Amino acid sequence: MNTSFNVTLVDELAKAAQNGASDAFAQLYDLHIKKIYNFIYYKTLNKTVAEDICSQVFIKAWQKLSQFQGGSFSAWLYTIARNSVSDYYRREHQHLNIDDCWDLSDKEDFLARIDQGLNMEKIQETMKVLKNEEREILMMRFWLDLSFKEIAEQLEKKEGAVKMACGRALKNLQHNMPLVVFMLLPELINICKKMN
Amino acid sequence: MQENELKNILEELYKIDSSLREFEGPLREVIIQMSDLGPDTQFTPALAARIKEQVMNKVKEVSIPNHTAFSFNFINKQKYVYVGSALVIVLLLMLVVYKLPAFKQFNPDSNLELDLAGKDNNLALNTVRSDNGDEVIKLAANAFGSLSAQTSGQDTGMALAQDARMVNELGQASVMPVSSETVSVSVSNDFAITPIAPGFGAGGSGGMSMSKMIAPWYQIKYVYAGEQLTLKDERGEVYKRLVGTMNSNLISLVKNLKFSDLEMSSFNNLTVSNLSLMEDKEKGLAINFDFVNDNIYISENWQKWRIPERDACGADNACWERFRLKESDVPSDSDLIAISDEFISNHEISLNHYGPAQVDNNWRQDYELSSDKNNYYIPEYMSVVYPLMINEEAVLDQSGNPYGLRVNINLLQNMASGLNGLSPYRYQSSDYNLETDFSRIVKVAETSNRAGIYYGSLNDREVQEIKLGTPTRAYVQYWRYQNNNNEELLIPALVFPVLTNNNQAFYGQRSVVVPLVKELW
Repeated sequence: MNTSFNVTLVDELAKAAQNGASDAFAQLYDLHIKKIYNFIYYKTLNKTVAEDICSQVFIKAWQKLSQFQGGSFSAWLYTIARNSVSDYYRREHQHLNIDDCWDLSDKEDFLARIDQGLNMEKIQETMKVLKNEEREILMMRFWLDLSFKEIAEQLEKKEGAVKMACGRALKNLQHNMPLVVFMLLPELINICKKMN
Repeated sequence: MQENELKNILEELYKIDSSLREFEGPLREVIIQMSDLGPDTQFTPALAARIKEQVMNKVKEVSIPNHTAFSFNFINKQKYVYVGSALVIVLLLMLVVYKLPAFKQFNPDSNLELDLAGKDNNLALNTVRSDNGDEVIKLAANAFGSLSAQTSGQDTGMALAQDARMVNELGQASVMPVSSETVSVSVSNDFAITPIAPGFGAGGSGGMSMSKMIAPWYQIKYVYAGEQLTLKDERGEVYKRLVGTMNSNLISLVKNLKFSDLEMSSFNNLTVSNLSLMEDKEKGLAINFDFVNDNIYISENWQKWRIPERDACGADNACWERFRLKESDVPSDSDLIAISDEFISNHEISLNHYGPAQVDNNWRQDYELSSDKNNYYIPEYMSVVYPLMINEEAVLDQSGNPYGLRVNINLLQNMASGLNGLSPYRYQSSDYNLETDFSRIVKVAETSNRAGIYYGSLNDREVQEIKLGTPTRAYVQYWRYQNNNNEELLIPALVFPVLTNNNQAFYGQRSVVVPLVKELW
């Protein structure tokens, strides 16, 4: 899936926005909002929180546009988003030093802070075994549908290093497979019942 | 997940770590499950529009600290070298001179400190001060120093013109003809009335046509088609807004407050940087005082403006649709201005230094160009702008928008719900040399097209010729970064309206602004 934007267009819009063109910034918003919102949601699992942080991310981006020195505008936005999520959790959970909801060690706390209706407690157990960066790479690859090349760009890493980390994370998850299968078991049973 | 995509992922991983092949079976399962487990983020166009509205409202309030003001790439590189060298020399001289004891006597900033401290102002040639605290302090010529030298390194190229998009909205009476003694300048009806690009011009209103965002690529060439003017004014006033003058005696109150866990008197040299007040009532407002930048913002106390039925919509798009505005829901300009005027009057805000109200209607141009009007997001907030007037000329921001007091109207409630741009009218002014060579100014305007106005594919690039009309005089807001602060300057400029636009649908600029101060050339 090709999810990349027209890079030249984004660059041109970023330059125009740096010159104060708020309408160019509005277009940058339209091009990035879905990815950035989803990225934040995957790290918070809470719509209200994701919405608040998302608006802060774009406001910060506008305020700090003068500090954007070229390169990938998307990567720059992801960095602001990542930092904003970390700031949020460090502010809300000052005693914990965590970067996103997946780091919440207390299951009850985790469940209290994610959207009701999300059946994520089991996967949280699995995601917790991953390092923050590995988790992010899996999210970006499998949930945001970014290519390895795009992920490398967003994380400012080499593509090979991203693939390495992804392989490592998958291996890690594979060791936790029983848990994942257990989590999906009720759904599999339902499917089987329907087939019968 | 598609089998092909899965295979591709696995192959990519194997290239890096072939040992993963041993676990292909479980790995496939993990990838498929990981992919399928992606939570539903509940992202909807309504959500995007809602966030956009918040973001763009804030964008309207906050100008980008201008490190690239008037920075366009049309001065050749040789000039960069000359200009850069000259700036280095000027800076070195300033450093040397600053060390001399006599310098402080002539340092405009030390003068400012004296003035703000309420002592005699030796350099003030003339101070116009009114009972309500408005004042303009006239300083000696060039008192603000070099207007461009302190900006960031990339400004040493000192490009000069700024494309502007919304100048056409300026009240015509508020734009003064250039050198009216010598030439009659038509401030005509065709003053930059040009459709704006889809996706553009929505400005802060959030009115973006989602269905049509990518436009063809083409290059702009400006051609001046206006009258030849004679510019007689060799000098003109530049204004610097004074900040930190909103006197706050609040600190004495705060210092006496008792907190069980905190001893306020343990802190030294406290100042109040901002203050937020909330009206605790239905449709209450939040009033924010920024004592550092001397600004007052009023916004909704949002908890008191909630619409419970809409809040309960959740992910139900049909529910959101019920609250979506139609074009027919937007009040007429006169009604919007009446709402705004009433708000201004109720809060006894003085309009002494502002021009006639005008509605920011940029979204309408975007709307008209939208191919899918039914799905066009009509902004829920409209703005009425009262342009700041200085020397009887309107002030524009660096994008060419009327700059001044902006009242926001909540269309869902049909009420004014806030404002921004309210600041004390306190300025210093100083004369600077102006460029009078009109042909040179025209050349700058003609070569001012910039990156950022091209859209779409890299292919099929074509050149569009766009005519510029006879310019008018205005003041342009300009941020200068100096002493770790952004200073707001108002600079005389010429505004060239865009007259023709063959490819109307995809061109956003309505005018080109060229500053007249030679310092910036």
